[in-house]
Amino acid sequence: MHMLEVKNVSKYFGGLAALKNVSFTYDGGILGIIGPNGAGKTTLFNVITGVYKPTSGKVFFEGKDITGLAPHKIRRLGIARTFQIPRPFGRETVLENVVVAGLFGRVGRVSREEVEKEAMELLEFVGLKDKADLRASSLNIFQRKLLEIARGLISRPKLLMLDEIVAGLTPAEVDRVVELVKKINKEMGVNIIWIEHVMRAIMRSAEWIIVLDFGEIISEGPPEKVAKDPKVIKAYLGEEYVA
Amino acid sequence: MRLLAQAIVNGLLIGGVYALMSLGLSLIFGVMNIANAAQAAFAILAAYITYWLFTLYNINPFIGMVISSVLLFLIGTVLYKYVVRRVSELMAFTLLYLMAMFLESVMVFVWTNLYRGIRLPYLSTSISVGGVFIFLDRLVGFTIAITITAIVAFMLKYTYFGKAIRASIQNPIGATLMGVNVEKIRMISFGLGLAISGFAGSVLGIIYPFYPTLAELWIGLMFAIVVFGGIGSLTGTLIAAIVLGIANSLVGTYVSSVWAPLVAFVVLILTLWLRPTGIMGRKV
Amino acid sequence: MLENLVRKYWPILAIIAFLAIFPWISPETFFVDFLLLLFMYAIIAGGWNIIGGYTGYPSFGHTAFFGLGAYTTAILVSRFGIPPFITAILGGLVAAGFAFLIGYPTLRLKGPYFAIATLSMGFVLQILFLNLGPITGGGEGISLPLPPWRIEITITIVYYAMFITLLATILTTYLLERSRVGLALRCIRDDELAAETSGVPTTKLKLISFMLSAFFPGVAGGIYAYYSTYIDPFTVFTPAISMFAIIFSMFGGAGTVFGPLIGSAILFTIDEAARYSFTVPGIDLIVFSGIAMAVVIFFPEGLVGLLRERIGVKIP
Repeated sequence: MHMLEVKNVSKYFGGLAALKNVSFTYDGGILGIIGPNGAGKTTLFNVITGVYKPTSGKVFFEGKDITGLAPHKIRRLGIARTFQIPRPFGRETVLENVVVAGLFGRVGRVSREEVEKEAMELLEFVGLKDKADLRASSLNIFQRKLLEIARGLISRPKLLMLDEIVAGLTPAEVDRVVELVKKINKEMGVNIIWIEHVMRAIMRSAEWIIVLDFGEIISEGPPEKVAKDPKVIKAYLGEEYVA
Repeated sequence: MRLLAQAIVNGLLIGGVYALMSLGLSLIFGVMNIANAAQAAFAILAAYITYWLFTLYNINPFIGMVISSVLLFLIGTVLYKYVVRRVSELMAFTLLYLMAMFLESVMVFVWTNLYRGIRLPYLSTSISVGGVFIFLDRLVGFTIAITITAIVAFMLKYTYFGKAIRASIQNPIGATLMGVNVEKIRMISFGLGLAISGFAGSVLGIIYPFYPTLAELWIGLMFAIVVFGGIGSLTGTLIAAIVLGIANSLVGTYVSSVWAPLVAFVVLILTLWLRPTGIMGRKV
Repeated sequence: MLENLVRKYWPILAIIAFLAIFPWISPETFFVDFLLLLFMYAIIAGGWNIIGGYTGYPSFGHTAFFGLGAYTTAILVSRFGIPPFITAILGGLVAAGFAFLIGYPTLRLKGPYFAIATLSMGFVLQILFLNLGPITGGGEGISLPLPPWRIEITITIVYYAMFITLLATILTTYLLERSRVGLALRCIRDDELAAETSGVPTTKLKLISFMLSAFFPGVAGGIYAYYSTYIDPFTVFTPAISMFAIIFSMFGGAGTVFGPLIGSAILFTIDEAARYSFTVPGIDLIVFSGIAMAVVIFFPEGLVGLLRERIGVKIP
C-alpha cells in the first residue's frame, strides 16, 4: 500500500484536457512537481484534495479511495494544502486563522485553549508570533505564505501539499521558506509534495521529481536525472535548445 | 385535445417573450458573473416609460419601446460604471436587490400599484388556425421577441462587439490578451442586458396589465429560466423559456392560473436539487 | 466572576433592567406598543444577521420565516386551542424546517443560487397561502380569538414575549460569535474554499446557520399573530419585512452582536416618527433602500463597524 496513489486521473474542462491519464505513486519524503505554466500541476492538487472531481481515474490515500471526497473530509484524513496565491481569512486575526484549522482540521475533540496554545507555537515556528492578534489582511505576501504553512500544520497532517510556496518572494525569503520546509519534513516528520516553479528552491530540496506538461507526466526521477532529461528541457525551453 | 393545443400555442408565444426577457439576465450573468436581481424592476420601468410616452405624448408604443430600451441601455452603462463596479461580486447581488426595491418603491410612488396596460385595441383580436386561437397581441409580442433575439444572436456571432462579448464570457483573461477592453465590454453588456429586458418588459406591458410589484413575480421567473437553462448558456435560456412558457400555460389551463408563479419556483428548486448546471450550462 | 461580568457590561445590563421594568413606568401604552414592535424588527434583523452578517450568505426572503411563524400560531391557536407562546416556538421550528428545505439544495452549491432561491421565498409562500383557502383562510386570513383581558395587559404580555425573544436572539448571537462554530462561519464568509480545505464542513454549518437565522423570526411571527389577532398573506409575507431585515442589520452593522438592534432602533424609530408626522405612503421604502445602497457601497461594515474603526469605540 502506498501513502498516495494517483491512478489514471484525467480532468477535462469542457473540451480542454487539464490532466490526461496521470498515474504515480508516492511513499513519503519530499516530492517535487514541476512543469511549465498550464501543465496541470494545480489541477492535480485540486483533484487530490477534493476541490475538483476527476473526470476519470482514482486517488487513494493510505489505501483508502478518496476520489471526489469533500475537501474538509480529505483534510481530516491527514492531507493539508496551501494555495498558490495565499487565501487568508482576511477579517480574522492571524491566530484565529490557524486556530480554525486546528479545531476543524483534525479528527477528535480538542479544547480551544489547547489549540490556541499549539497555534501560538506554530506561529512562533514560522516567525509570525508577534503578529498573532493582527488582522490577517494586514500581512504582506511573505507573511501570508508563512501563515498558509502554519494553518496547514496545525492539524498535524501526514501530508502537506505546497503549491508554489515561494512564488513571488525575494531570494532571501525563498531561502527562509526552503529551510522551513526541510525542517518540517525532517524534524516534524511531515511528508511534503511540492509544486514549484522556482527551480533553485525545489531542485535542491526534493528527493524525487515528477514533471508535468500539457496534463501528462513526461518525466520522473531524482532531480539530477530529470534536469538533464531532453523531454523536460524541450518542454521548458522549446525544441531548439535540446543539446 | 383542442384545449391542449391552445394551451401549448399560448405557452409557446408567451415563452418567446419570456426568452427575450431572460436573455438580458443571461447576458449579464455570462459576461460578468453577476446575478442582476434588479433586472425585472428595470424591465417594468421600461414598460412604464413606454406607457407614459403612449398615454402622455401619443407615441406609438412600438417606437416607444425602442426609446425606453435605449434609455435603459444608457442607464445600465452608467449604473455599471459608477455603482455596480464599486462593490465586490458577493455584494453585487445585495446592491442590485436594494436597487430593485428602490426602483419598485419609486415606481409605486409615481404610478401607484394600480394596474396599467398599454392598450392597443387593434391587437385585441385573434386569428383562428385549425380551431386554435392565436391571439394577435401575443403573436405580435412573440414576433418582436424573436426578431430582437435574432438581431442579438446575429450581433453576437458576426460583429466585433459580439465576438468580444462572447470572448469575455468564455475567457476574460484571454480576451484581454487579445486586445479586448473587458471592462468596457462589461459596461456595454450591462446596458445591453437591461435594454433587452426592457424591450421584453414593454412587450409584456402590451399583453398583460402591469404594476410595480409584478417585478417580484417576473424576477423569480427569469431566474428560474436562466438556472434551468444553464447559467452562461444563451441557447439554454431560450429553450428553458419556451419550456416554462408552455408549462405555465398548461398549469394555467388545467389547474388554475394562480399557481403559475409556483411552477417557476418548483422548477428552480428541482433544477438545483437534481442538476444544478441546468440543461446546457457550464460546470458549477 | 459575576462581579467582573457586571463591571464590564454594566451599560448593557442597565439598559436591559430599564427595558424590563419599562411597561410599569411608561406613561402611555403607546410607548410599550412601539417598543414591542421595535423588538420584533430587531429579532428579525438579528436572525438575518446570523446567515447574512456572520456567514456571508445574505437571504432575501426572510419574511417567509416570519410569516410561517405567524401562520403556525394562527392555525394552532384558532383551530386547536394550543397556548400561543408554545405555538410561537413551534412556529420557529416550522420556519427552521422550511429553511432546511430551501437551504439543503442551494447551500451545497457555490454561486448565487442561495440568493436566487431566497429571493422568491417570501413571494412564493404568499401565493401558496393565498390559495390554500381551506387550511390558511386564503385572502381572508385567519382571525385569532381575542385574549380575555384588557388590551393593556395583552400589550404588556406581548412586550415581555418579544423582549425575551430578543434577549435570546442577542445572547445566541453573542455565544455564537465566540464559539468555534462562529469562527468557522466567519471564515466561510471570508474565504469559503480556504475554510473547506481547512477542515470546516461548510455545507453543514451553513445549513445550521440558516436554520438558526430562521428560527427567531419565526418565533417573532408567532408572537405577532397573537398580538395582532388577525393575519393574512399580505401582512405577514411582505417584501418590506425582508427588506427591513437586511437594511436594519446592515445599517447597524452586519456581523456584529448589537448591529441589528442598533440599526432597528434608529431606523424603525425614524420610520414610526415619519408615519406620525407626514403620511406619505411608501416614502420610507424609498429612503431606506437608498440608505442601504449607500451603506453597501460606502460603509459596508455598518454603524458599529464605523464606530469601531474610525472612532475606536468597542461595541460587540
